[in-house]
Amino acid sequence: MAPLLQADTVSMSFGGVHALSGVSFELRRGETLGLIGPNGAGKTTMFNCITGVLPGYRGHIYYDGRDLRNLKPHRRARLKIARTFQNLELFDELSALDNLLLPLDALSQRGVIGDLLRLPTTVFEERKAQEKARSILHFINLGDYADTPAGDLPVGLQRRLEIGRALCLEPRLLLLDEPGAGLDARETAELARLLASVRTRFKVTLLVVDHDMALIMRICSRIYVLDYGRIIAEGPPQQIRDDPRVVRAYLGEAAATSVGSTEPARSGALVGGGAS
Amino acid sequence: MGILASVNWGLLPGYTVIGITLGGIYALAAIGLVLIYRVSGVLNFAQGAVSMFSAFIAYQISTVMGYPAIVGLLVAIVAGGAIGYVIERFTIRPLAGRSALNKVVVTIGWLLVLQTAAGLIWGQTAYHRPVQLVSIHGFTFPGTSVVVGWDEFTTIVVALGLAFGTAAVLRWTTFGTSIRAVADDPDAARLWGIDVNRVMAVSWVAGSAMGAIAGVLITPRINFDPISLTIVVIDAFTAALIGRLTSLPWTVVGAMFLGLAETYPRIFSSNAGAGDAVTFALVLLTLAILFRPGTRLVQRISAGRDYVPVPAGDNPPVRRVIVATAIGLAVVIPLLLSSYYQSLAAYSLIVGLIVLSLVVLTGLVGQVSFCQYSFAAIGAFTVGSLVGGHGWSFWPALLLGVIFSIGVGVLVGIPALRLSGLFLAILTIAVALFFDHFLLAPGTWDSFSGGISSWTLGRPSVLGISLAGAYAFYLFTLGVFLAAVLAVWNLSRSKTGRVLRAIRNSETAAATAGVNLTAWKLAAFGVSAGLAGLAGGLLATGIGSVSAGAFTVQQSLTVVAIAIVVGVRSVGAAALGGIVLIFGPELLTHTPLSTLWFPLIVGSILILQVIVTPQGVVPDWQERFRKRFPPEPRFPRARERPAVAPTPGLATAEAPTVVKV
Repeated sequence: MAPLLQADTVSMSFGGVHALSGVSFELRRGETLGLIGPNGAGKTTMFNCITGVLPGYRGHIYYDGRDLRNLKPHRRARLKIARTFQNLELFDELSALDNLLLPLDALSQRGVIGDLLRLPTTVFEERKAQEKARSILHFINLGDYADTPAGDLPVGLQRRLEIGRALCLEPRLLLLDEPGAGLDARETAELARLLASVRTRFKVTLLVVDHDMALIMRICSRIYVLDYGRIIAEGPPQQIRDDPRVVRAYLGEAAATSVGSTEPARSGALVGGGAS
Repeated sequence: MGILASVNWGLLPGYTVIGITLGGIYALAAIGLVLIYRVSGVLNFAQGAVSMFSAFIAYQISTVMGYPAIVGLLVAIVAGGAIGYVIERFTIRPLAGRSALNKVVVTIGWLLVLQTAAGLIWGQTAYHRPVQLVSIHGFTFPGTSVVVGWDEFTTIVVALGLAFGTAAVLRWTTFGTSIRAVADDPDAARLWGIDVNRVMAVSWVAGSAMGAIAGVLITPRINFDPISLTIVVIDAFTAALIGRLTSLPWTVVGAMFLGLAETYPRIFSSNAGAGDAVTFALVLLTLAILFRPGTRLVQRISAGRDYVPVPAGDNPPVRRVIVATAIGLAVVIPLLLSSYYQSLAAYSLIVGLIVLSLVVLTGLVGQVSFCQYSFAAIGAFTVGSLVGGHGWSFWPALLLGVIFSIGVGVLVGIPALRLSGLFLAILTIAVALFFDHFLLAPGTWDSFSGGISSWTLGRPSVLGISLAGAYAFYLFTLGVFLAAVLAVWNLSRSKTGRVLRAIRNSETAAATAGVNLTAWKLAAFGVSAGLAGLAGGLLATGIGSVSAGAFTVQQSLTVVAIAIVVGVRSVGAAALGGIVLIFGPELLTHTPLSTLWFPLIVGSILILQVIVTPQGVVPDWQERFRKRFPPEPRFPRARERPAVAPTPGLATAEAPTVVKV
C-alpha cells in the first residue's frame, strides 16, 4: 500500500538560509514516526510545509497519493491532517471546550444566515458538536476545565488541549511539534501514555518532531534524523541512538570520536536528555 | 486623445516644482511618523493633528499677534515637541505591553481632541491666512525658464536636510544606535542599560517637532483649516508605507512620488478630489505590493494582544429580566417625551446599528474599520437616489442599499485579507477619504440625480401604519434595532462567533483547524457593512433627505471611539453607544459648551478609558454584575455520564494558578 505521506525532495529557503534542502521521507499508514534533529535543523519548517502554513516550497509532498501543492491550510485540514504547535497556538480567549468545538465548527457546512436567525438546525448541530467536544475533553482528562479560558491553563494542560483540538478533526495524520517541550518528567510520562492511547483509540498515523530523544525513543517505531535541512539518518530508535552521524550532529565532531568532550557544538541533548 | 491634446504641457515644469515641494513636506511628516513607529511600535494617527495644532500656534504668534514668522515657527516646533511628549509620557507609556491596536486607538483619541480644540479656538472652516516663512518671490532655475519660489526652494532644502540629518543621526551616533536597539527589542535594550523610556520620549518629541515644521510649511499649500491639515497624516502614512515604515531614504522617495502624483492630475482635471483618488490608489497599491502576510514587519505588529477573559457562563434568568425591563422602558419612556426627542431617540437607535456593525467587525474578528459611515452612505445614497430620484418604493430600495453595502464591504475586505490590524486601519481611512472627497463629492452623482446631490424622500408605512409620526418611526427603528441585536447575539454565541474569535486569537491555528480564513473574514466584513448600510438607509428616510455631509470620516472616527468606550465586544453596548452619540451633543447645547465640544469630550474619554478599563464601560458593568450574581457552572450536568472514559493515568492537574489579566 502506498505510504500515507511522502515527501519528495522538499526544499525551502528563507533568504539565503536553506531550512530544508531536498528532504525525502515516507510515512507508512498506522506507524508512529519520529523526526528529530538539533535546534534549527528544519523540523518545524517541514511541518509548516506539510500543513500549508508555509507556501512556496520546492519539491512535492504527497498525501494519500495526492499532491498537496496549491492547497491552502484549511483544505489540508479537511483532508484530515491535524497538527499541534511548538509554541502553543491555542485560542487563548476561548474556553477549553470552545477550543475543541472549533475544528467541528470549521468542518460543518452551516452558513452565517442560520447562525443569525438561530434556526433549529443550528441548535441541533450545536448540541451534537458539544457532545463530541465534551467526549474529547474527557478523553484528555480536562473535563473540569470546560469553561476555563485556554490561556489561563498551565502549559502542561495547554499541550494536552492542543492534542485534543487536533483530535476533533478526526485526523488520519497527526503532526505533533515538540509535544514534550516545557514538560517535566512526570508530565512527559503522562504524555507518552496519552499518545499511546490516542494511537489505539483513534487509529491515527503520527509524525512526532522533537529534539529531545527521551520521548521519541519511547513512542516511535522509526526515526528520521534531520540536520541543517538534510536527512542524515533513518532507522529504528536503537540504531539511531548509536549512529555516529547522529551523535556528531547533536554533540559535535569531537564527541563522535572521543567520548567525554567538554564542548557540545550545538544545543540539544541525546540519550535521555532533559527538556530544552 | 482629445483630453491629452488640450493639455497645456508648458505647465509641467511648474507643477513639478510644486509637486516636489509638497513631497518635501510629506517627507517631513512621514519621517516623524517613521521615527515614532520604529521606536515605540505605535502608528501615530495623531501625527497630522499635532502638525495642524502646531501650525495654528505659529499662526497665532505670527499672523494674529504680529511677531515675525520665524518666531511663530520656533514656538510651533517647541509646542509640537511638547504635545508629542505629553502623548508619549502620559498616554502611551502607561500602555506598555498592550497591543499596538490599543495604542493606535489612543492616538485616534488625540486626533479628535486636537482637531476639535483647534476648531474651537481658531474656527473649524474659516479662512486662515497661511504662515508665510519665506518670500514667494523666486529665481529662474539655471538653464531653464522654470521659476522656483524661494519658499519652495527653502521647503525642499529643509525637508531633505532634516530627512538625511535624521538618517545620519540614526546611523552614526551613539544615541542613534540606542534608538535602533530599542526599535529592535525594547526588553533586550533595557537589559543592556539603555534608558528605554528616555529614548521613547525623545523619539516622540523629535517626531512631533518634525511634524510641526511640516505643518507650518504646508499652510500656504492646502486649505489651512483644522480638518484638512489633520488629514495630511494619510499622505504621510502613504509615504511611510512606501518606505516600509523603516527606511528613511525610501520614505523620502515615496513622499516625492506622492507629491508629484497628487499634483500632476491638476494639469488635466479641475476636480479637486483627483488628488485624493491618487492617494487612495497609492495606499492600496503599496499595501498590496509591499505587505504580505508573513513578512517580518506584519508579524511584529500583530504580536502583543490584550488579554480579555471571556466571561465564563451567563445568568439567563437575571439577564432575561434586565433585557425585558430595558425593552419595556424603551417603549414607554419616549411616550413622555416631545416628538423632537422621540426623533432623536430613533436616530440614536439607527446610529446604534452602526456601533453594532463594529461589534461584529472589531469585537469579534478584531479588525478595525474607520469607514463605517462610508458603508452607511452607500445605503443612504442608494435609498435616496432610488426613492427620491427615481420614485421607487422604500422597501426594495432599502434592500438594494443593504446589498450594495455588503458588496462594497466585501470589496474593502479583500485587500484586508492580507493586512493585519494597523494596515487595515490605514486602508479604511483611505477608503473613507476616497468617499468623502471623491465618491460623495458634489458632482459625482449628478448623472443619477439630475444635477442635485441631495434628495428628499418621505417615510414609508409598515402593515398599513404610516411611519410619518415621530413615535411610530421610533417604534419601527426599535424593532429593527432589537432584531439586529438579536441576530448579532445569536451570531456571537454560535459557530460563527467562535470561528471569528478564533481567527482573532490565532490565524495560523484557525487555518490548520480547517477554518477558511478568506471566507470568514469577508463574511464578517459583509455582515458589518450590511448593518451599516441598513443604518444608512433608515437614516435617509428618518431625516427625509440625503446629502454627503452626513457621512464623513470624522464621524467614522467618532463612532469607533464611542464603540470602544462603551465596549466593542458587547452586543448590549450598541444601544448605549447610539444614545451617547446622538444625545451627547444634544446635552451639550444645554450647557455653556456647544455641540462642537462633543468630539473633544469623546476623544478625552477614549484616551482615559483605554488606559483605565480597556474592555469598555458595559463589559465592566457586566463583570461587576456577574460578581454580584454568579452564574451557574454550565459543565456538571454533562459530567455525570462521560461518553468516553478518561485516559487512565492522566493526572488532573492542580487548579490553574497562572491568571493573566
